[in-house]
Amino acid sequence: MKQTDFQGELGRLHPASFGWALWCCDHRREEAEEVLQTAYLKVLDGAASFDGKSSLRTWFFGVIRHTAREQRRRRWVRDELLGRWLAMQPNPPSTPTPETSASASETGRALLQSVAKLPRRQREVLHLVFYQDLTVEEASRVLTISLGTARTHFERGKRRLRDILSQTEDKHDRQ
Amino acid sequence: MTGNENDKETDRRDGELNNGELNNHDERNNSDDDKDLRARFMALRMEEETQTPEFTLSSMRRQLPARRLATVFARFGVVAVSLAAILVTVLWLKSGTPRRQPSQVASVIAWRSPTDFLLETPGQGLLQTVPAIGEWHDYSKVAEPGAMHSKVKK
Repeated sequence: MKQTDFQGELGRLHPASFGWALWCCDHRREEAEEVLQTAYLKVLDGAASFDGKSSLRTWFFGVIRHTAREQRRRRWVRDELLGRWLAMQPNPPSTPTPETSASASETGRALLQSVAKLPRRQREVLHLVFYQDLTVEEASRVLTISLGTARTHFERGKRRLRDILSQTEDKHDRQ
Repeated sequence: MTGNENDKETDRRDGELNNGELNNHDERNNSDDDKDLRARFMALRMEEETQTPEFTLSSMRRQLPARRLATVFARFGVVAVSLAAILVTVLWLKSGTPRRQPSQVASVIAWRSPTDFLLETPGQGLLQTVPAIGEWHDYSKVAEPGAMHSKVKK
C-alpha cells in the first residue's frame, strides 16, 4: 500500500478510531486524544507496521488498544504508586466516568453508565460489534483472543447489558 | 497461577466450549433482540462522531524527530539512573563493611583452644628432647609404652 493511500485510509478511519480510543480510555476525552495521537506517531515512526495479514481497521484498532493499555499502565504507576507514596492520599476512582463526555444525550449517558458496569472484555467486544459494526471474528482479532472466547464475551455481555438496562429503566419508570 | 493466567485459562475453556456450541451463530448478530442494542450503540456513535478531533497527520510528522530524540533521551536516562543506583549500592555496601583493627588481628593469632592440652601425649617432653651422650637420664620416670594395656586379656 502506498504511503498516501495508507494515510488516506487512516484519515477515513479517523472518526471510528477516535470512538474506539474513547472506549479504550473509559471515555476520558483528553486521554483518548493522546492515545490516538501516540498510535498515529507509532505508525509514522515505524514502531507499528501493517503487514497486511488482517484489514487495516482491525490492525489499527489493535494498535490503539495496545497504546491505551500502555498509557493505563503508566497512569497507574504514576497515580497509584507515586501519588500514594508522595501525598499519602486516597487513590482516585478508577471506575469509568461516562459523565466526562458531557455532551452525551440522556440515552447515550444511560448506555455508557450501563456498559461501564460490564467487565472490560465484554465492553470491548460489544463496542466492536455494535458500535464499530465489526464481526465477532474481527473483534476477536482486534482483542487478540480466540473466536470462541470473543463469542462467549459477546453473549454474556449482551445478556448482562440487557439486564442492567432494564433495571435502570424500571427504576426510571418508578420515579 | 496468576490472575492473568487464570483469565487466559478461562478464556481457553470458554473458547473450546463455544466454538462447538455457537458455530451457527450469526456473525453480525442481527436478531431482533440485538437490534435494540445495536440502535442504542449507533445513536451513541452518531453523537460521539460529532466530537471527533481533526485528523492532522501532517502536523504529527513534524513532531516525529522530537519524539525520536525524546525516546533516545529517555533510554539514556534509564541507563544512567540504573548505573547510578548500582554505583551507590556498591559504595554503600563497601562503606558498611567493618575494618579490622590491628589489635584484633593479633589476638586472633594468639588464641589457643581450651582443649589444646588433650593433644599433649604422655612422654611428649621426652620425644622433643635430644639426649646427650654420657649424660644420665632417669627413664624410669617415663611410663612404659605397654603399661596402659597390661590388663587387657589376650
